[in-house]
Amino acid sequence: MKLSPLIFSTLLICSPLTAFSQSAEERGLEIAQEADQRDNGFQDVIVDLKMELSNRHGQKSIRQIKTKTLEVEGDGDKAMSIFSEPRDVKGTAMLTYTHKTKSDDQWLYLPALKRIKRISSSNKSGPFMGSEFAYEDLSSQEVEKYQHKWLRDETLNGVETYVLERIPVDKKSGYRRQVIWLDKEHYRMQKMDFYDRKNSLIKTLTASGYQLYLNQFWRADELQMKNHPSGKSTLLHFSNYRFKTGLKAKDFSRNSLKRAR
Amino acid sequence: MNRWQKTGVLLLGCLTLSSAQGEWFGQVGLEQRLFFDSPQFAAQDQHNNSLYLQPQFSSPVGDNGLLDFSAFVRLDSSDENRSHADLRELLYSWSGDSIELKAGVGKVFWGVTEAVHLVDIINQTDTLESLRGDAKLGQPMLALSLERDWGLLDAYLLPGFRKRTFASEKGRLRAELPISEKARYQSSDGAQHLDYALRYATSLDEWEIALSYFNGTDRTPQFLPQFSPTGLSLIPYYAQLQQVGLELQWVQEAWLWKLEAVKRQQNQSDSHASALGFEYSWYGLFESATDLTLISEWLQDSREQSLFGNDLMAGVRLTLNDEASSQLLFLLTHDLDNGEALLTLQGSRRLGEAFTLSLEGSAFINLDKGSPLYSLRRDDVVSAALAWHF
Repeated sequence: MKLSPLIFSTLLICSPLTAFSQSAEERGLEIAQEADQRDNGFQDVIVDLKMELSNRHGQKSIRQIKTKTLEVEGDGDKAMSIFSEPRDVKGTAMLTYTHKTKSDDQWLYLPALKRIKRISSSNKSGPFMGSEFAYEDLSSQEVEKYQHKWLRDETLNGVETYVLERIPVDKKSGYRRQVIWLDKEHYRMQKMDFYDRKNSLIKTLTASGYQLYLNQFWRADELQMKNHPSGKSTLLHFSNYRFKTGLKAKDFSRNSLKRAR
Repeated sequence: MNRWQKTGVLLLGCLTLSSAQGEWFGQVGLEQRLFFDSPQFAAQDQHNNSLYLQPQFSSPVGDNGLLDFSAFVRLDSSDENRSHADLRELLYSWSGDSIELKAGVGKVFWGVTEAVHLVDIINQTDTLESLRGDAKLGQPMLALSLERDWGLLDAYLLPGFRKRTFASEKGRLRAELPISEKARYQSSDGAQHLDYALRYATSLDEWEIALSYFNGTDRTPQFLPQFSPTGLSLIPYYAQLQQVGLELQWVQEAWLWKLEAVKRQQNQSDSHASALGFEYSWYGLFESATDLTLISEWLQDSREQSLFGNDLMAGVRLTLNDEASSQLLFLLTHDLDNGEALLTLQGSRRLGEAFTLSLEGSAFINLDKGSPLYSLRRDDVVSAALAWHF
């Protein structure tokens, strides 16, 4: 269709107007969707994760986990975590089917008993393996799980960022809200503040060492979570990223937990 | 083969495996058992301590194969039967697109409930290692699994029956009469009877369901009195069993509802048993990281000699979610017909990076003279184990 000059000029006049009239919520959602969109199509990824837990006296303990993630179209991702350290939990594996809107499904495999246990999906806010990361911090970050709002643009450590507030939709979340800094160039999370149900700042997450994989996917080498009241912190160190390895749904079945190594 | 020859075979197996590419891990532990009362029977020792070793090995074999090995050895200061060795696992698995084959010695768990494991039948229980029936002996097997959109179908051929383990005359937690090392079987094939089993499992959102069938030698023996010059003893008798099992689980937010039911046919007589219960969890108790789970199950069994004919189990699990993965589980199983009760406690935590400390306790309350547990009336026990994981 050929646009009439009238409609064309109306569009010209109106488009900046619509941009201006966009609410902070719409803008927030748009930025979150763009960030999500840029990470689409990874298919599957395997990564080795070293967790370093430190208390306020500087005492450290280590967890070694291999995680496999499968991208699922139209729903949340499927993920499997396989523990190799501490040695007493070696072989323990956790399987999660995240969903965009309904509760996630989760199973735990106990190798000594050869038993697969269903875990209640309500356990969102509990600490993962005694770390400063809650289950919900580590699960697949679907756009639909939050209400977004753009707060401001800000320069963070010399990087131009969008600052968004997101409110978890799930009432079981341990957080009232989160504030997230995304760099304008690549929409990568630089920093995130977590506010508890009483709206006080309890944790701050910072990302460092972003690397580009397969010319599309940015992943941080390190994520540090600092708990402000307790002084404890957990450092996640990621290594050996492998994208598009050909994992299939059958590699994420309940039965596959028994084969997880 | 006696147990020391078996240990030799295990060590030989270990050496063979060490040449392959793979990973060794496992644990070594020291255990001390303390009994509150003096022994009921003259031959028994008051306390005992023991050393155990559990070496494990896992290795990929080609692109789709896996080899798993696991053994268990315990040396006990007083109970010669508890000084035992068992090949828990020496299993080769091959997995294709939606098919899996397993051959060797393995362990399979079926079930959803905590107080009893009614449906679970593939492996024999190692009663010397766990009162609640969580420790199992390795079972020779050939297994085929099909995994499709409609669910998971497993078929097992089980050659070679494993007899249940029992404490010796010197050991605590034993029957009043000595139990014979020999066993009798209903089948003329004896321990060589070829058992088979099938199980179909599927899940739909918050529902999980499984149906199973077992045909073979019952893992639970009956006891026949036997007279001999040395006195009266009991001889385990293993009958043939056909069992149909149902497992059902429904998860809804912090609720987990569970059902296990079996229908058994033995010597032309039918029996049935079931366990129905729930778990409910509070996460982050009093704004701490601790989770508290309430567990309760109602147990029913139509067989007269059953320990859990009409029982109510109630328990609490505390998970501290700390760096040391501290946890504590209390279960009280109360017989609604005769008032006897069994209290068990299990706790564990990690010490540093490579050690764990675990505590277990059992108390027998209100035991009736006619009860099969009556010989355990002075066997309230607490045991502590320190293990190094490598």
